[in-house]
Amino acid sequence: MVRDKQKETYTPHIPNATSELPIYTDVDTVPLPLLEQMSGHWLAMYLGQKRQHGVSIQNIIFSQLLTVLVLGAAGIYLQRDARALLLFGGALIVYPAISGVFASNAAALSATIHHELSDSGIWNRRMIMFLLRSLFQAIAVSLLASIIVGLLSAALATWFFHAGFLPTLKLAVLVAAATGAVGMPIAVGMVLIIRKLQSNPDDVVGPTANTIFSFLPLVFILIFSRLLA
Amino acid sequence: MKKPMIAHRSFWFAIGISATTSSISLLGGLGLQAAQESLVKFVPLLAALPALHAAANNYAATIAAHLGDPRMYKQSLRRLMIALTISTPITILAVSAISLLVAWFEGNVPSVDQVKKYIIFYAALLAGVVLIIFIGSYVANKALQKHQINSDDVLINTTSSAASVLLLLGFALAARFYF
Repeated sequence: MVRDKQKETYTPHIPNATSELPIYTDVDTVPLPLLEQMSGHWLAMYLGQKRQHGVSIQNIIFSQLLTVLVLGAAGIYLQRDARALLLFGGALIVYPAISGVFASNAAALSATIHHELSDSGIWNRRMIMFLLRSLFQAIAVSLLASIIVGLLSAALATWFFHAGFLPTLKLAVLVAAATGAVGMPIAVGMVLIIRKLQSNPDDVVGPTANTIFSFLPLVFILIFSRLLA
Repeated sequence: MKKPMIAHRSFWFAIGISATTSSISLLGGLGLQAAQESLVKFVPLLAALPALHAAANNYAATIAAHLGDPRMYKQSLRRLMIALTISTPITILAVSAISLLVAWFEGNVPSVDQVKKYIIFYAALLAGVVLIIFIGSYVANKALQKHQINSDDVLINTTSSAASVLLLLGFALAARFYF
């Protein structure tokens, strides 16, 4: 409470280190008002860093409950349309692999953007280019990895369950393309929003990206299974 | 103390890691596909599958992202453990409630014994996966730092896939032998 009040009311004047602030080698010689002023500044810095890099129990519980609710709805949809999975030989082999490719790449993308933004600290042209490059790279990586995973899934589906090789590969590629196009930009947008709200994206974006990428492939698998079967 | 930033790996390295770790998830997919017929019969189990799968992946991503954060403090590690201890039972209760409600709405009312069986299964599976992932991530993160590999590139993908495989194999085995 006291810290919050301090955070709201305190606006530190930070002297220019080169021209206004003398260099002190002994803390005992630093004038008390300056020490007080700088300690307020460091407290504000510390609280900001703590919010963006600390562990928030509430955020973790909130994002888990959001996941369970959204995926609970997906569970109802899956349960109602479960027979669509039986129409297609490799549908259940493809699901965890595609979901895993996108969820992990989105989580890695959000962690990379968050850590890079924390490091550079300012918004400029270089940061925007970094953001776009990271987004397109994550989509490209996910798609290419999905093709490799699709080839493997198709081979396994053919070998173990006598499913068609090409239809399973086609299903994997279509699901991956649709999932990447819809889900990845949402994941990046969320990192920026969570940072704007002064929370740690590591607590929220990873889980929310997992929710999106557990939900979207399932929906697209059910849709494309019906279309391709 | 802020740890030094380690450079990210190349595009092709990322594809390799992503494809390799996700291919490991195929093991879970194979298990699911093999238990497909049994799985479709158990309404609460099928309804809980996406939610528990995502919850396990969430924990894996959260644990890996925190452990890989260069600004991770010792207090944060303790707080992460507390957060996991508090949120895991809440997640288990929420998943159990939703899956059993779905079964009830679908006209498949489970008996008290079945309810207990489902809750015990969800609790053992999710708690086991979280524990294994936490210990594995901690050890792997230390090893990656030692070899100057940025854990954002490797750890998140690997832990997510490991969580996915463990959970799906757990589901497949339970559908075959436990229920």
